Amino acid sequence: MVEEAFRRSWGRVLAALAADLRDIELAEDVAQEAFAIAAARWPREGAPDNPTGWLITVARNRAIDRIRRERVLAAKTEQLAAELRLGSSAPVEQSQIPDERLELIFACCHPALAMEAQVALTLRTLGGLSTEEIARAFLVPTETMSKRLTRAKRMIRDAGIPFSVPAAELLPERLAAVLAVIYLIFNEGWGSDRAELSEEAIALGRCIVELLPDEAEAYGLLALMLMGHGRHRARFASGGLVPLDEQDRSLWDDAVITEGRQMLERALGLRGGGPYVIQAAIADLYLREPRDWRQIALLHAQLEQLTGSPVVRLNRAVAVAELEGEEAALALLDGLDLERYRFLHSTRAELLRRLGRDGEALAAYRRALELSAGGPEAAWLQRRIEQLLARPHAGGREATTGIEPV
Amino acid sequence: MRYALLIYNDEQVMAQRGSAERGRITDEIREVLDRSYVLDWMRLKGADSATSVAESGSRSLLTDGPFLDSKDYLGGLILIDVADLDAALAVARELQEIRGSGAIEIRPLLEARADRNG
Repeated sequence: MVEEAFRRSWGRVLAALAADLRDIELAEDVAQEAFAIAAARWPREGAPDNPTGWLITVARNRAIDRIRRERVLAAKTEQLAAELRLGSSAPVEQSQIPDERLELIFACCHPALAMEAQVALTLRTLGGLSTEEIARAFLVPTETMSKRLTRAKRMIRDAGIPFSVPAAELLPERLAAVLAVIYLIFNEGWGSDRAELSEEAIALGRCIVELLPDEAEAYGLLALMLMGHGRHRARFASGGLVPLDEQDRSLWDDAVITEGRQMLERALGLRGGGPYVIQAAIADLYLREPRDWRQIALLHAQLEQLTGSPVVRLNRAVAVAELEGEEAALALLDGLDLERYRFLHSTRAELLRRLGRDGEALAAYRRALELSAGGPEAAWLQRRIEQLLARPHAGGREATTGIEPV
Repeated sequence: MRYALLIYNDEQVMAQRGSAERGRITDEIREVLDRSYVLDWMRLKGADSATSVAESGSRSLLTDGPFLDSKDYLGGLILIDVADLDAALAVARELQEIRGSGAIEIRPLLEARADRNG
């Protein structure tokens, strides 16, 4: 229960503190202390009526103590200013907490930071992901990620990156990075069946749409996320991943999917044709029966041209497999620079399995399993490996694709 | 916050500029320099007037020319006091639009040092 409250409150608490302190590292430190106190106290004494306000109040007091202690050592005008902004140590009422997550996300996605640092920082501060989780999502060692985060936090503090929503003329320029970050948060939840993370991303996506009602790409992203999230209850069963075509459609949340389609309509109404709008259109096509593979392959080709992304080519290969066969799809995957990307191996494995090339399929499944983060996805891969090992001889095609757009 | 804008000039572009164009650019930059958020500024003579002293083991080494050899050289420095990095970036962008070449590096001042001077 405490853990759940933590996950929900972390972004809000950190955003409120960072806005006052203008120092994410310090904000994170004192927020962690407050959460630790809560973890010790709440199970014994019960949670307060207003957990978020309580956490912010305790963390603020910690910050004030720390600033005073440090000011004795070195007079720092920045810290004095932070203390003034923190104001009184009176308890914070729920109604008085402005949601400052948007300000925080624009600080975290500032172009003065490297793109990869922007993404990592937003996942850490607003998504509440651990450094290890972020490292895994980006295929880098934990230590590298830890250094990247520290450097980014210090850059925000030292370079004076503002905690504010950019001025109107700068807003569109900053939007692309923010959307990329939100989509990555969504995908982290999507891949590991952590609906709360996906919901966090969707909430941020809604925030952006509200703030920027004329941006087609913002609607496109929200549409894409909603159409995925609407199926999340059907994507996992008995600890394993269920491919799209094997999903129990009665578990789909039609209201969420419908909302996603409405967002797509709005994006198209704004004449959107950017990467997120195209991806949302593809997601929409995937949910319709019978599937229009030609249109799906076409949109993927358009997207590949727009982004030059090897991951897009990987997805195009899935559609091409349906249109032209597995051999053509495998040819598209040759030479893709995605050795550490587990979906390359799981997709290749699936294509090879359908061709009856069991030995190669097995090797590819095993490589995907090695790279996977465990959990339902690993369970699904393990099941595939066992099925292959149990197969008496090289078989022909199977009805289900077992491949899902990634 | 206080920032130093380090103005880097492209040697080749500067050499090709006529005096009329230089005059226009100088006038437009002067207009920016007169604003209240500009604390101080200075221009440096050309890189060919530079002398560098570097430590090499136990002895100082004297060389002619700038310490870092590059086609862009430090041509001046502007100290500004603005709200945040976005405001500093806006000033730098405006200057770059006037200058049309080279680059500006934005560096926050170490505040302890700034306090002692301010």
